Amino acid sequence: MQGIDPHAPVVRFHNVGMRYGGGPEVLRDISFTLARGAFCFLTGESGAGKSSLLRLMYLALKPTRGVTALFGRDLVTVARRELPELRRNIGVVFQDFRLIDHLTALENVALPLRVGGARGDDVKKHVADLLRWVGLANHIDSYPATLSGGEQQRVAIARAVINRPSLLLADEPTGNVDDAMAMRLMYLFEELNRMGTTVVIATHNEQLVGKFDYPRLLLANGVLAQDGP
Amino acid sequence: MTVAMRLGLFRRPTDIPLDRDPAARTLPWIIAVMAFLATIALAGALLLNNVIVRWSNSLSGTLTIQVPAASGAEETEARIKRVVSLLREDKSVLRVRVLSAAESSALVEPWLGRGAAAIGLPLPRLIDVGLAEDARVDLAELRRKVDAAAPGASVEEHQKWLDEMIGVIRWGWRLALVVVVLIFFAAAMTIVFAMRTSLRIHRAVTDVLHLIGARDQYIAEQFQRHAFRLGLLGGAIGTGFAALVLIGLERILAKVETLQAMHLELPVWSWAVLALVPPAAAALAAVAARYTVLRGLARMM
Ligand SMILES: Nc1ncnc2c1ncn2[C@@H]1O[C@H](COP(=O)(O)OP(=O)(O)OP(=O)(O)O)[C@@H](O)[C@H]1O
Ligand SMILES: [Mg+2]
Repeated sequence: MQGIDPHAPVVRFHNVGMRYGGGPEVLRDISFTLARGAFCFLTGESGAGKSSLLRLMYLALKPTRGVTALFGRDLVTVARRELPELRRNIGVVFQDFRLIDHLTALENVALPLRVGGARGDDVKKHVADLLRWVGLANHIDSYPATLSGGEQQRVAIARAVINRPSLLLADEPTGNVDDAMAMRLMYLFEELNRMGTTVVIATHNEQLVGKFDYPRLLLANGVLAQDGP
Repeated sequence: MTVAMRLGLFRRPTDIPLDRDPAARTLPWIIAVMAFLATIALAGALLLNNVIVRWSNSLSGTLTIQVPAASGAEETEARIKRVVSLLREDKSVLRVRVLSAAESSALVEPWLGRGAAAIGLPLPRLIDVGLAEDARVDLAELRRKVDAAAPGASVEEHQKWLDEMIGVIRWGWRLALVVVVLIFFAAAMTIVFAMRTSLRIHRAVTDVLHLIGARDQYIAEQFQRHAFRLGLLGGAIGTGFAALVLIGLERILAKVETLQAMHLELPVWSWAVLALVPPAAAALAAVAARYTVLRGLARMM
């Protein structure tokens, strides 16, 4: 992609502040850097601003102040028509899944590939394999409305990782599954991370965080409690 | 189920469930009505155009001189001869043909009835005069001379009357074309409104598509294809109905003998022009949808 520096940090935030509309600042003075291949948790209690910070990273929102850079590109300098290219390098698991209701699990997961211009049956096979891997072998052609919360969550995860993004942002990705499935999904994220994907997982599941030895960004009331990695 | 779905036009799944919009149900019918009106107006324009062309070709450059019956048949013939010889002297006159008494009475028959000649009404005799192209005839001078040769004779100038008639018809033709353009404009506005609503309805889906890296064009194409199908469907229904009406109308007109000379008919090729209305409606719908959606998306993240 044009203008991407492979050696630059994948994410760099400096003194970032953000407010919704005319409301109060929900994020203040956020500064951190994520190197290529980093893996970290983003924790903090409900309402601390985890989802908001992720939204800044997956380019759904713009900061009201400060510097944000992705893949070495200062986002102020990125034109709107360049956003799709950047976003294709970012996989997102939304806290509320955001699956498309009238598409099957398979079609939902294939969407990032279709949007990127891919066609054909190898795509289909690839997608079906991934769905089997996350335990949805029997639900490949099911519609989201007929799936349980945990099943929908796994479809959302499959969609986020299908094109091996450079940056994976997962918002509470294990919130609706049992511990065994949570570990299986964490293993998927670690696998991706080993292949070079930078991973950020927002969660308030301390138990899960405790099982791994990854650095954490701790948000409290919209500020980073300790300076991140 | 909308008509479009029933006809299987939406078998291919799209990311955005546009075929479930309320607009998908009503838009084809609105477009059908507009296509019907546009087809009728366009047919009117083509018909008037045909009349203009045929009339311009058939009667240009002719004069008719009416010589009233004189006291005796011989005197009438003498007067006709005088008029003919003075016409032959004129360089701008190409041909002179004296209509026989029978021909003359046949011409006035529709006005006076079959028996006019039979009961001995003194019918005027007609002289058909062909003028050279671009001939500049001094009509006042000609009238004076003709009147001297045959008192009471009149010179009828078809061209002037025809030009005036054609002028009027040409206004009708222009009006019909303006109506066609206005209908297309209204159709475009309808599609713009429908697509704006659609875009609002599907905001959640377009947001997700944007976030996973879809370009505006990718999203707009789905709206565009959708609008194209609705336009084609509505256009086909509307133009189909209009064609039935026009065929019926043509049958009726063909039976009216007195109208035959007016060339109130659609040339065969004009059906090909009318058949362009549905694809034109589809193309218009697609362009309007694309424009609206791209503009709407540009305001989003
Ligand atoms: N769309 C929005 N408009 C206005 N305020 C918002 C919006 N989304 C979040 N907020 C506010 O921003 C603050 C941070 O919310 P955020 O969703 O980022 O928290 P979170 O850490 O993800 O919480 P949770 O763990 O419950 O998901 C909250 O005070 C919330 O009320
Ligand atoms: Mg959240």
